[in-house]
Amino acid sequence: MYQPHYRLGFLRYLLLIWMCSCALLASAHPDLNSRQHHLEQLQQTTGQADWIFAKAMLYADSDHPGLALEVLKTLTDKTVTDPKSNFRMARLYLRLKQPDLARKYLLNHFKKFPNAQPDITISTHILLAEIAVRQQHPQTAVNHLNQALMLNPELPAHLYVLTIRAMSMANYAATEVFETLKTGLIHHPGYLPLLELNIQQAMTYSDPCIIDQAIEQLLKQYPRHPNWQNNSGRSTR
Amino acid sequence: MRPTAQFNLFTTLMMLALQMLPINHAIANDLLRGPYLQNQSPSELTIRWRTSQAVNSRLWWGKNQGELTHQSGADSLTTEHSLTITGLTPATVYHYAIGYDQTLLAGNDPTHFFTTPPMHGETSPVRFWVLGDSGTGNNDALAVRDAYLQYSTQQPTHLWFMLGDNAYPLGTDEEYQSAVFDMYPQILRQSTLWPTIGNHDAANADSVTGTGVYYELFTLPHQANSTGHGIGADSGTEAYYSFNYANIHFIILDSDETLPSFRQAQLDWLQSDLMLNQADWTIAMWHHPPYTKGSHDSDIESRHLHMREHILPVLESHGVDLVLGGHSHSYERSWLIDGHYGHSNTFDTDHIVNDGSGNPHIDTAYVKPPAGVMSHQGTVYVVAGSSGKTSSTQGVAHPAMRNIEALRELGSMVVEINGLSLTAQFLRADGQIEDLFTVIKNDALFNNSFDD
Repeated sequence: MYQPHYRLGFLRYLLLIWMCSCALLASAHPDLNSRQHHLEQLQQTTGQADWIFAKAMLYADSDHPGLALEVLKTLTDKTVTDPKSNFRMARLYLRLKQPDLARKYLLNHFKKFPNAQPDITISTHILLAEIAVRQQHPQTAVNHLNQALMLNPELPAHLYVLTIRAMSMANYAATEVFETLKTGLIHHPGYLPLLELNIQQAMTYSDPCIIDQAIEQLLKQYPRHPNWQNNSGRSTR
Repeated sequence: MRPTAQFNLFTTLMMLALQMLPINHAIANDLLRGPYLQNQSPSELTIRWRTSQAVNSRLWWGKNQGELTHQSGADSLTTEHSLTITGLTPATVYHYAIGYDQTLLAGNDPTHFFTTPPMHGETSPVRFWVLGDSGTGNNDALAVRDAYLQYSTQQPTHLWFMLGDNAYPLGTDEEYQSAVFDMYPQILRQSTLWPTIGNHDAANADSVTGTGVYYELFTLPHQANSTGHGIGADSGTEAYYSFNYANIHFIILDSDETLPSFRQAQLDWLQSDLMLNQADWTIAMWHHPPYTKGSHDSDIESRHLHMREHILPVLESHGVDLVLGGHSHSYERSWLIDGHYGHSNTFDTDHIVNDGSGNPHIDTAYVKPPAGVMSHQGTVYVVAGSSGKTSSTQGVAHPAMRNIEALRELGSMVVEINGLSLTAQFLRADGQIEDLFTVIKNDALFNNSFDD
């Protein structure tokens, strides 16, 4: 049977929780207080999962990991059907300095969403590579970066540099590194770190012609580069 | 090149075709977004727009309205149109129209035109508009916009910037539609918008991979040096980039992304870019300002700390003149300062290069040496994040800032550079100028030394 006073009690309970949350927010950090309005706006205008993640990230960014985790507990199975969810959880746990947990969520993405859109899959690979580099697993990093670059070779240039550095750490053969460099330079012909890695790599061949070619390639893009512009007859020096 | 008979015939046919265009004028709701100008250089410009149905893309342009003698197009059917014009003449006004087949969607009227920048290094007057945290799409943003339009009657906007949080709350496509494309249609079709990513935009974008709504909407110079957009280094990403306009080098950074490899790549690029920069003026901007006691506190939040501790030393060692940021929904402005990378309680008078107002109507302008890129000669830092709303502040001023307290006033920045003189103003939503400062690159020693 419907009991009006039960409903009233429940509303009072909700009101109390809301007031406590506000007080907690205000006391936790003055900056959070000013963003309370924004959080309310988020709650009104976006889906539940979006709001929860945004709120949790807000706490994480403001160095309140405990509050962020409390917010995450309110996620239900229904809200994590979004393919972005695992990635977002991973980003959050990475912010909270829990890379192992972040890695689990990222791997879960591949298990749960094998046919997800390439963008989110690429982002997942990149984040797994980032964690692998931090945990001194360069081979794992190379595998993930290569998969991301295969899905989209036009990804930002620094990801090629990251791949090449991880390949060097994993003791890849010079020819394999050179191939990745070549591909990177096709998509980013004017990216200085790649052009300079190209020169470094050419030096491993000890062939003056290859070194000269690599330097010419850089000077074609940056004729005024102070470190290289006066390098005439460079390979013979 | 001398005109040929073939060219004249082509021109005549094009003009005839254009005269027919208005007859085929499409229904208004066919054009959902734009046109908006992107990625401009002295010789190139990208024009983008969105249609309700997938159609091919056509763009007509010329030096006189009604004589749009040039055409480019793409035959693929799409609702997201993006065409790049090349071979433009620097410092020239062009009129344009967009459409599909022979159907005009917009343009060939007095409001659709653009002006190409002068050649890099030239010292023609430049005027630009800066909006911070404007993405509310509400009446506050409207008031800031209208104040600027009113203030700028008969004056050009050569380019304009958004300092991040361009569309609240989550930077979705729909939010961008109302907060940007429906809010600034006139300026979008006449002046190139150069955006910065903010934390709210990043909710639906991934800077590490350059994907998501923000990156889909904007065309930015990730190969600026290679494509002639700037004299610096290619960034290899749209998340951070640089370009030149006249004698100014603009640097736009991503302060939101926190992955260490991304941050390191951005820092490495910045060093290369500044090493190659020779412009008279260097202006940098990003979302999280290095000094603020507005609705955010740069002593506490990690993104502010990172930019102050890692980015500022590089910028100042390469003579950056002006740094703009948002995030705090207020206005704050520093003296001419240098070398402060710690917490606010470590700021002292040694960091102040000039403790005047910089306002020549009150005392004197800030003066810096005339050569373009000289390290540690002083920088002015501005927080201008109140173009869409204001928020409560920390209640105290950051000691690097001139304000007694962060100013809770809606407004935007208007910056004018003429040769070696820069004047920046904070224009309130009620049309009043709240703050003004001038930086001049000149000094008595320089004048006296070269008098003969």
